[in-house]
Amino acid sequence: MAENTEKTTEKRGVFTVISDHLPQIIPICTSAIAILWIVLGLKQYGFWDEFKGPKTGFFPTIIAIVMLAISIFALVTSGKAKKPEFDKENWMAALGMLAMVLMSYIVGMELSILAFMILWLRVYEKCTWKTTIIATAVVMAIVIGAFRFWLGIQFPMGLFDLIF
Amino acid sequence: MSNFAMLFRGFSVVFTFQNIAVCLLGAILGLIVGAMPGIGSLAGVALLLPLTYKFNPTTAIILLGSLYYSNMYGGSFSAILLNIPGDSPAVMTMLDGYPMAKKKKRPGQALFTANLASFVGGTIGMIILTFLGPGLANVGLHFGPQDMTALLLVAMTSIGWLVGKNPTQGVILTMLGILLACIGMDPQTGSPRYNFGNMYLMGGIPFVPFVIGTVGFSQVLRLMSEREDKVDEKQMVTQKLTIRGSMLTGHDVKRLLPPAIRSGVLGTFVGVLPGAGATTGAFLGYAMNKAFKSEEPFGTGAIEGIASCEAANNAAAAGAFAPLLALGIPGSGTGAVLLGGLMMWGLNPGPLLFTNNPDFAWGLIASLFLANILTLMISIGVIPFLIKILTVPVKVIIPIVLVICMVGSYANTYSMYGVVVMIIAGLVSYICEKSGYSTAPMLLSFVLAPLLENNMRKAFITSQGSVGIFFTSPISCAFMVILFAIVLTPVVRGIIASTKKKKEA
Repeated sequence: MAENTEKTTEKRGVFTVISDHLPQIIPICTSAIAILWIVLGLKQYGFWDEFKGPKTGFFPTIIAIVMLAISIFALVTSGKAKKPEFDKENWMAALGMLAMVLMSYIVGMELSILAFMILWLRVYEKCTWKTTIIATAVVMAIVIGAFRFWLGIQFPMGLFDLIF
Repeated sequence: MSNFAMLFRGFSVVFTFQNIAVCLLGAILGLIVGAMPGIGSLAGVALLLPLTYKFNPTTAIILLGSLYYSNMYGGSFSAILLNIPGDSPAVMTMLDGYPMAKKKKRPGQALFTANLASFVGGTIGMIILTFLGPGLANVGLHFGPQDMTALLLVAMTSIGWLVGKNPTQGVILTMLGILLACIGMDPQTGSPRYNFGNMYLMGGIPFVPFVIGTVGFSQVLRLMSEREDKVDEKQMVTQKLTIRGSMLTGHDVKRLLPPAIRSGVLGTFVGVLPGAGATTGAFLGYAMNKAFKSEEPFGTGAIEGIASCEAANNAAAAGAFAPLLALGIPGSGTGAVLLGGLMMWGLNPGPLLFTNNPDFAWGLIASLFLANILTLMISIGVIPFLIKILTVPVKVIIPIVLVICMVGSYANTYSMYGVVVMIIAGLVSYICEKSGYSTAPMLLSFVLAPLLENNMRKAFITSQGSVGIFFTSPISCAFMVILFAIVLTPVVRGIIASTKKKKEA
């Protein structure tokens, strides 16, 4: 029990540290992307051909150099930036989306959406059955009516693909 | 052929059963999206993009254009009845709309004022667009690759500068959008680049899932913390609304028209500027009309106050189509999504659009006129049901939008690759937005990057690598001066601020 609490504190600590340093982390990440683009642009794709002019890496390299310069400027001035605050609840939508994607591999996308709508509205949001059924019906009408029948999209069937 | 004759030709394109039906659908969806606090036109247009695959480009743009346009009407509903703006341009409407509805007990008249002013402003904007669009296209025909490059750089950096609080952050995301757009194939040689050996990345980052993630999924993540916020019943206007009881008197209309006309003209030109958009239009329209005489002071529920901002934001929405169609340069995030849609359907917005695809360009402009009339009729017709529509809880909207995000992204790529792109784009955008980075510039640059690369390479081939080409023609030279001013202003400001601090210390 004590070990669990410690782990949770440690985890929360890591997230807090990350969110506290986001004003620095973002320009560091964009600088890293810029450096990667410059290196690949110059080494792998080429910058300038004496006869043909700009090569494949020409344009991305120029843009990456500008981004690197501005990212460094942003990093230097990031001390004054306001630290963002994240609410745990905000991530629930991401978890819901991931669950829906993973379920699609098992029961198929349409059943996964049906299950997600009912569980989300009825269990997580504690909506009434009436609201749950109406909202689910609207969504299923869009998914099946508009996407499957009208646009002709074949959604993944998950494990049912192996059976049928 | 004169512009009006071409406009009538546009009407002949629009007046088919399918086009009128999608225009009506777009108008209804735009009103709903605009009225419900939290979604907005950008997410609305992005989420609807996958549903346009089956349409021809003209019908598709009519659907999206009417949604974008009618969204401006819808934003005022919740601002007037709930004191919560449905969309950012409606913030100014709240100042007079809510007091008129609550204190003066004239909610129906406040809604009618907003609707009528939106109609007047929008009509003015569309009439100006009818002349300005082809005029701008004619100017654009004289642009060489160096002029186009300089113009695109100004458009990209100015939106990064104007949107969001920190210009540096705006420019960083602008550049990031361009670098992401470079993944895939070199548009000129066809050789793969930055795909890291990945088969999916060879086709580039798909536009639709990227946009859905950036604006739709990230918006849902933000909405999660607002889903328990219930509308304060004391704050809400509870008076029963009827169409007859909402009619304006002749005196009300007399008060409404002058500020609406003034704002209509101003708003259109604000809409043409990159990055300014409907919100700035509404703000400037309100500020300008405050200087004129009004029967009641602004901010106390004045009809003039509602009319000035509502007319301006609709006019700005119409004006924004001028640079989008004529130069291929969108003025806002929503414009960028529309432009991306046009490219997805195989069209090349720019100076030649009015010449090569007149039916498309004029059909779109004509559809805006139609959308304006349809939206006015619907927005008056829904007045009795507005309170019910506006009180649909956010917690019910969240899973619906999540499902549309997933299905729309899957439908674009026919694989989970689209869904993965959408999720990553959404998470990154959410983190960036939380840290103060506005993602609208990233969308804009992602869409414009191929055009910029094409023109920049052509310019450098012509000049054999000399940067001097950007300073030889007066057009590109003027744009480069503006560009340097935009880029250097935050740097100079920063230096001045730090020098002042040092002196004070």
